[in-house]
Amino acid sequence: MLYASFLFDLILSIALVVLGMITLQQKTPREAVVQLMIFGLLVALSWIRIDAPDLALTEAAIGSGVTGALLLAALRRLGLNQRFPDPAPAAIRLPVTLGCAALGFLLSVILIQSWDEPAGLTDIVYQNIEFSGSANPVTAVILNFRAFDTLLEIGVLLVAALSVYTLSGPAGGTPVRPPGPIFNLYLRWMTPVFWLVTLYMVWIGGRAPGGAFQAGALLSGLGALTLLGPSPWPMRLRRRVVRWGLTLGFGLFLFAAAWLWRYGNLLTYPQNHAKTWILIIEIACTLSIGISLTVMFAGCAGWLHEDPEAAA
Amino acid sequence: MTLPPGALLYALAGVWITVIGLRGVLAEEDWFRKIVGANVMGSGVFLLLVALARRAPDGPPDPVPHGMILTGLVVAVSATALMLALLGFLNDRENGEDDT
Repeated sequence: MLYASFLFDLILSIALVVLGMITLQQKTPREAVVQLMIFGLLVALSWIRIDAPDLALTEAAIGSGVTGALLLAALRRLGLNQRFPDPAPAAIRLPVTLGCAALGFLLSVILIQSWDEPAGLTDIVYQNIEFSGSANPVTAVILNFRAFDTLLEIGVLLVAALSVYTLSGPAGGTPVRPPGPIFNLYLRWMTPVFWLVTLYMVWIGGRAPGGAFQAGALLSGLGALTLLGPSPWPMRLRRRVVRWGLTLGFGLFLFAAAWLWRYGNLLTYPQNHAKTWILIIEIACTLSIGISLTVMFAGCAGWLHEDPEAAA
Repeated sequence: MTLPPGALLYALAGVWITVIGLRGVLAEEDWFRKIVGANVMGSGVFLLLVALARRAPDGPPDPVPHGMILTGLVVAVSATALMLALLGFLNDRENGEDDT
């Protein structure tokens, strides 16, 4: 039994390295994207083997799904259907390859030698979890113990979304085929389900795997589906939603930080109300993550700035 | 003979995937392929982190790397989107110059 699971781990880890290599050897952009999505799913599979099933789901949704959708949408907009150009001359590739191989070798040796050294913050997290306002250790880490990091990460997300919003040009590429009746029906039925699961995901994040980042990814799936759907929102409403939605998470988080600063340290919640603070911040961040990723998808697909007046 | 733990195998795979991705970013000519390479590299780093969280063979995995990966995944996607938007911007400019 032990040997069987070792064999599985061995085969999967070798397969991952080979797949990563194959991904970068594909002849056309489309093949590369499809290969990258398959690679992402197998990475997610390996995470289940190392006790991170919730991260595996997020990787499958974001790392494979959303990234793949972004890349495919960008391919359509850029009209990249031809093969990749010839590779760089060997004079460049050879030293880079050798350098990278040396780096990989060095890191492998360090990893094998230092593997058994006890390290990590597991004990400290579990000792303090009862004060954190969340029974889920990952939520406790990202929204309490290391909330400052998360604040900045939401800030990075905002900057990236704003940059995509600013950079993406008007509609280009081939137009999308109008969706059929089955898709429309699916969208109408699934919209409330998406919202329900999103809210559940935020709520359950206080106790079990889940939380703002998973829920936000889910919401962005709904956003992408809505963009493909038959009834795009009116332009004026959409601009307002985008503007408020993008800034809500970072704004509220920053406000919380400033507010709590008056009582002591940045982002040190009052102990009795930690759960409430975390929940409010999580809901705001969920909305912002969902809308940011939707805006990025729309931007990469070239659907962000379709001006109806210019088209008329 | 004792078998190496599964997490170590995945950590080593993570190292080599990171290196392969890095090579893709540095050695490929095409921008799109560089973006794909950056994504492969990101996956490798995340795989390494998940494996490092599982260094202690017993007990729960380390939640700190898990938190870093969770936020990192979203940041990695937004970086990809930004790269694609920049690529689109470059593409539009080149095409615009061709037209005029």
